[in-house]
Amino acid sequence: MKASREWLEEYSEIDVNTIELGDILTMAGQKVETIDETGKDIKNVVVGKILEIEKHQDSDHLLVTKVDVGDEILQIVTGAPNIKEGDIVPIAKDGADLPNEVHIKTGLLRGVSSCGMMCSVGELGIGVHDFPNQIENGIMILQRDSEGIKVLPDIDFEKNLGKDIVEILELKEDVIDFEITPNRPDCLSIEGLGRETAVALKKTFKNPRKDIDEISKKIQDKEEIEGLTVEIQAPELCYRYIARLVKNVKIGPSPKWLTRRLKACGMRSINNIVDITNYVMLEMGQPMHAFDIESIEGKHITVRRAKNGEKITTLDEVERELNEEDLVIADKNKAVAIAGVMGGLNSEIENDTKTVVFESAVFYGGAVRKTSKKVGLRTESSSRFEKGLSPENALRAVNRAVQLVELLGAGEAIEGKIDKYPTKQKVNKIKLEPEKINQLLGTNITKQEMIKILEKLEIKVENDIVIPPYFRQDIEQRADLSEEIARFYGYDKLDTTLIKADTTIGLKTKEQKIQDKILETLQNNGLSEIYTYGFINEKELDKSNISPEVKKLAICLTNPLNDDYKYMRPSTIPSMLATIKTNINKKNKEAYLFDISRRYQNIDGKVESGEVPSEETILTIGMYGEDIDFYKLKGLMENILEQISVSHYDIEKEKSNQSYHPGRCANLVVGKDIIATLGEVHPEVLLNYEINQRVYLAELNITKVVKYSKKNKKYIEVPKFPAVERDIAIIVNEEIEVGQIEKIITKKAKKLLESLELFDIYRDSKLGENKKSIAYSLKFRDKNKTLQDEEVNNIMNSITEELEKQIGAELRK
Amino acid sequence: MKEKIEQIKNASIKEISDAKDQKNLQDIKVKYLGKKGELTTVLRGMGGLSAEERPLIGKLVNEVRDLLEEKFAEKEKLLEVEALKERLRTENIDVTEPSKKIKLGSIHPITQIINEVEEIFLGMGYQIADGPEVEKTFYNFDQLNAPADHPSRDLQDTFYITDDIILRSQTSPVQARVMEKQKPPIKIICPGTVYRSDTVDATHSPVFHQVEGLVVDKNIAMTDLKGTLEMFAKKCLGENTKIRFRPHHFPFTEPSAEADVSCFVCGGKGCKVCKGEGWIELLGCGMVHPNVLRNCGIDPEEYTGFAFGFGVERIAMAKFGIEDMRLLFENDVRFLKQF
Repeated sequence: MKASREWLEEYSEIDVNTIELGDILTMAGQKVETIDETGKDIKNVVVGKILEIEKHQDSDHLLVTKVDVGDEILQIVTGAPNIKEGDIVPIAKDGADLPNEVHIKTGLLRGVSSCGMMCSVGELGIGVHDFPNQIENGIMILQRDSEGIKVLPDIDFEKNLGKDIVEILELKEDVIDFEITPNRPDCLSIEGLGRETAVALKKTFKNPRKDIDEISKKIQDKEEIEGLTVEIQAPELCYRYIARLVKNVKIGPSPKWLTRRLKACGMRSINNIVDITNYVMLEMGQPMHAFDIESIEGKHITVRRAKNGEKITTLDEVERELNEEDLVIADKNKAVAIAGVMGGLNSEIENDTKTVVFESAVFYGGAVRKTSKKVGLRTESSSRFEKGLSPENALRAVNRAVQLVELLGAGEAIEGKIDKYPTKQKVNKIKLEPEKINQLLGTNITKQEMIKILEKLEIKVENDIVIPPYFRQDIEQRADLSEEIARFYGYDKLDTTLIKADTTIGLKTKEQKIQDKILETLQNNGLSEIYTYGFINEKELDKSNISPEVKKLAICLTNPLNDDYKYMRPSTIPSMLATIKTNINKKNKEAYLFDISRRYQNIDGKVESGEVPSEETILTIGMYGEDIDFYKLKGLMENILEQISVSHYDIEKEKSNQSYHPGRCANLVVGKDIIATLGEVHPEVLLNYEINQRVYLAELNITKVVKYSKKNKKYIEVPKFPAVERDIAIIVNEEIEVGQIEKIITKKAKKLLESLELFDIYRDSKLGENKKSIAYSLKFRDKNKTLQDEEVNNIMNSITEELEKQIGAELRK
Repeated sequence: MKEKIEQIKNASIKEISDAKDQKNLQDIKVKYLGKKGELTTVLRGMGGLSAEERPLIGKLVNEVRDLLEEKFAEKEKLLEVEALKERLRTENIDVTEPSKKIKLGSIHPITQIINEVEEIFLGMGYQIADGPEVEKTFYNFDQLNAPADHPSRDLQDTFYITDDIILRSQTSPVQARVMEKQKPPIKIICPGTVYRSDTVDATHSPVFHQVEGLVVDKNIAMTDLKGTLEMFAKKCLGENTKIRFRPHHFPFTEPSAEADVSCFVCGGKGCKVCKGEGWIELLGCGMVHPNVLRNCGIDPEEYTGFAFGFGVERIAMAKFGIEDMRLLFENDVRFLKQF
C-alpha cells in the first residue's frame, strides 16, 4: 500500500523527515518496503525558453542554443534533436543537481561554452506517462505554442521563465510503500495508516472525516430510490450492500489535488466518478463500484451466486466464466459485476451517464479470494475484500463518495440509501487482564499505561472490558491486545531473559546419531555431500531405468513450477546421476558424492485417501574416477555399516535391478530386508545419460537400517592358547562365487575357525579353461586348550572334501 | 701353548679393532670364540697337557676369552653408534614433498549450518524433531490457525498434490505434530526441507531449508524469546551480534515479530550483504497463538510458548560469502570441496 506523506499529514502532524517516519512506522509494525522521494534531488532547474538554435561549427549533431531563463540569456550546447525555437523546456543551470547524483557545471563542448543542460523527463526522475506528449529520449517540452503542446493546461509557462521546475510541476512528492500484513485490512487505507502514524509519533489523530460519521447517522433508509431496488440472495457471501445514487452527473476530469493523490498511490485518473470510487477506497479502505443506472435492466440489483457456466466480460474486456461458488451483482437478466473483484464492461460509466449508483458492499473474504484466484484477477478491490472488511465502514465510504461528488460538482446527491445488512458486524469484548498480558510479554506495564495505548488506537476500555472499534476485527482475544500494547510500548524495550523452567535434556535420537556417523564416515573417506531437489520428471526416471513398479509410486504435483519438477521422486538415483553428469560436463576428472535425502512413495494410494505417503531417508552414493571400482564401493559400504554397528548382514548378487549392471550389483540383506544396493551403473543407463565411463552407485536405506543398528559390545577374553594357521588354494570354475566357498568352509570348520582370509585370486590358462584359483588363509584356535595338528588336519580334510563334493573344487598343489 | 694363546690374543685384538661393521665383527667373534673358533680349539687341545699345566693354561684361556668378550662388546657399541650415525645421514627426507593422506571429503554448507544450529540448541536442552515433507494441509495450515480461505494461505505459494496433501511450505507442521503428541514442557527445533513455488534465481529456490524452534511451558514470556534468540545469534553469528525485534504478523503467533540481527559481515557499519542497512532480517517469531495451542489440545490459560523460524540458505550464503543460491544445488565438486 502506497501512501504519500502529504496525504498522511491530513491525519497526523509529522515532525520528522520521511526516512525517519519510515523507520518509526516499521518499528511500530507497519513495515516500509521502499520510500520514493521524487523531486528531492532536483536543484536549480528552471523554466527556460529557447530563443535561437544554431548548428555547432565543429560537430554534425550538436546544436548551440540561446535560452531565456528569466533573469539572463544562457548559451547551451545540446545534442537533442526534438527541440524547436520557441520551445519552453526545463533548464538545469550551472551548479544544478539532478537525480542519480548528476551535477551540471558550465563547460566546453567542442570548444563552445555551454552554461547548463536541457532536461528530459527521465533526467528529472519522472515518468513519461505523467505528462502528455512527452518522449522517452528527448528534451521535455513544457510548452510549444506552434503545436498547442502544454504539459499543464492551466499554466502559461511563457510567464514563468526562471521559475523553479520542482515548484511549478509540483514534482516533490514523498511516497512510502508499506507491506501491510493480512490481519490489518484497515491499514490498506490512508485513514488506517494515518492513525498508526499519529500513535507512533505520539501525536493526536486528526480524524478529518468526523463529518462523515455525523452524516452517516442521518441518511434515511429506503426500499427503493428512483425505481431501483436491491436484493441479497446469498447473505452467506454478502454481509452488507448499500446503494446511494447521484443524478445530473457531469462526467469530466478530476481536479489536480485528487489526481495527484491517486497517482502517488499508484492509480491512474480515469474520470471524476471512477476517480471518486478509487479515492474513497484509498482513503477509507472500502472498495466501491459505480454503475450507470441505465445499464441495470429492470432497475433491480440482485446479489446472487453465479450460475454454472455463466459468462461475464469484465472491465478489462476479458470474458470470464463463473460457477455457483462465485458471487455476482446482477440485474434482471445478467451479471453486471463479479462481486468484489471487477465490474462488468456492460455497466461501465460512460461519458453520457446521467445517474450513477454507488455500491458499497462487504462480501465474504474467502469467496472473493477463491474467485479472484480462479479467474486470475487480483485487483485493488479483491485484495482488500479477501482480508475481511468491516460492514460498518461501508456506510461511511458511500457517504464520503456522495460528498465528494458534490464537492467536485460532478452531480447531485439523491436523498436516502438502500441498505441491506443481513449480518451485523460482531463486536468483540475482551477482559483486560494486565497481569496475564505482562506475564506473556515479560514486562511490567501498568494498567494505566495499557489503557492509554489502547485508547490512542481507538480501542475502548470500559470497566476492564476492552471493546475494539469496528475497523479492528482482528482483535479477538487477549493475545491480540498484548500485541497492540507491545507494539506501542516498543518491541525494542522488551528485555532479554532466559527461560525459567525445569531442565530438559537435549539429545539426538538414534536415527539422528546414525546420520551423523554416516556423514562423518563418508567425509573421512573422501566423499562430498550434495543437496538435490526432490522433484523429478518422467524422462529422468526412464533414463535411470527405474522400474515401472517404482515409477508408479511417484507423487504428482497439481501446480508444479515446470514440467521438469512435476513429480516427487520415488527413487534418489536419477538425482544422483544428474549430478554426476553435471560434474562430468564440467570436466571434473573424478567425483565422489553422497546425498542423504528422502524419497517419496505413494504406497497403497495413501495420498488419494488423504494420508501422507511413505518417506524414507536414503543415503545415495555416486562415484566416478580412476581409483574407483566395485570393491572399493563395497568396502566403503562395509565401513559405514561397521561405524553404525550393523553387523549381521549378507551380501547377495542382484541381477534384476535395471539401474545397475546385472553382473556387478549386490544387495546387502538382513533377513528379508534389503538395506542397501550397490554396484556399477547399468551401461544402458550410462548411454541414456551420455556418460562414457564407469559410474558406481549405492543406496542405503537409513530409515530401515536404524532397527538393525545394535550397540551391545561385550568384552571377549584375549586368547590364552596359540592359534594354528593353514593355507588352502583351490581351483574352481569361474562362476563359483567366493561367498559360496566361504560358506562351505565356515560351515565345516565350525567353532574352531577364528578367521578366514582370502589372499589371492589367480587366473591362468594353465589352470584350465574358465578356471580360477582361490587361496585362503585359515586360523584355528580352541579357547580352552592348545590345538593339536591332527585335529586341524582332520578339519582341513573335511573342508577339502566338502568343497570338492559341492562345487567340484580341486586342491591346487 | 702359551705362545699360541698369546698369538691368538694379539691377532684377535687387532682384528676386532679393525672390524668395519657389525657383520664383520660377528665373523671375527665366530672365528675366535665360536664352537670351532681358534680359542675354543685351544681349549679342546688341553687334553694333551700335564696336570700342572692344565689349570694354568685353562686360566689363561679364560682370561683371554674374558678380555676378548670385553673387546667385542666395546667394539660392538662403537659400531652401533657408527651405524646409527650412518643411518641418520642417509635417512634424511624432504618434509615439504606432497603427503600421501586419504583426501577428506566435504560436508555441504547447508548441513554445516544446520549442525551448528543443532549443537547450540541441544546445549540449551532442545530436542530435534522431524516430520513429513509431503504433509497434510491440516498440519501445515489448519492446526496453525490458517483455516481454508484464510488470506495468510496466500503468503506462501504452496505446491499442492491434492486438496488435502501438499508439500510443506514451512517446518511448522512438525510443531503441531509434536504438540499433539507431547505434553509440555516442549523444547524442540525442527530443521528440514520446505517447498514454495518460487522460480529458481540467484536468491530464490522452490526447495530450501528452515530451522524452526518451539518452546511451550508454564510462564514462557516474550522476553524469553528475545533472550533465547539473542543467545543463539551470539553463538551462531558472533559474540558482538545484536538483535532487534519488529512487530509483524504470522497466523500461528500473537504477538508476532520479525527479528533482525546486526550485520555479521560488516558488524553493522553497512555493506553489500546488509544492503547498507547494518541489519539483516533473520527470522520470524512470536508467542504461540492461543488458537494453535487449543487446536493441539494444550490449555492456553495454563501454558504459553514461543516459536521462531529462519531460512538456512540465507545464513549459509551470508556466512560463506556465496552470492548465488543456485551454487548450493548445482553440486560441482570444485564448489563442494571448499567447505
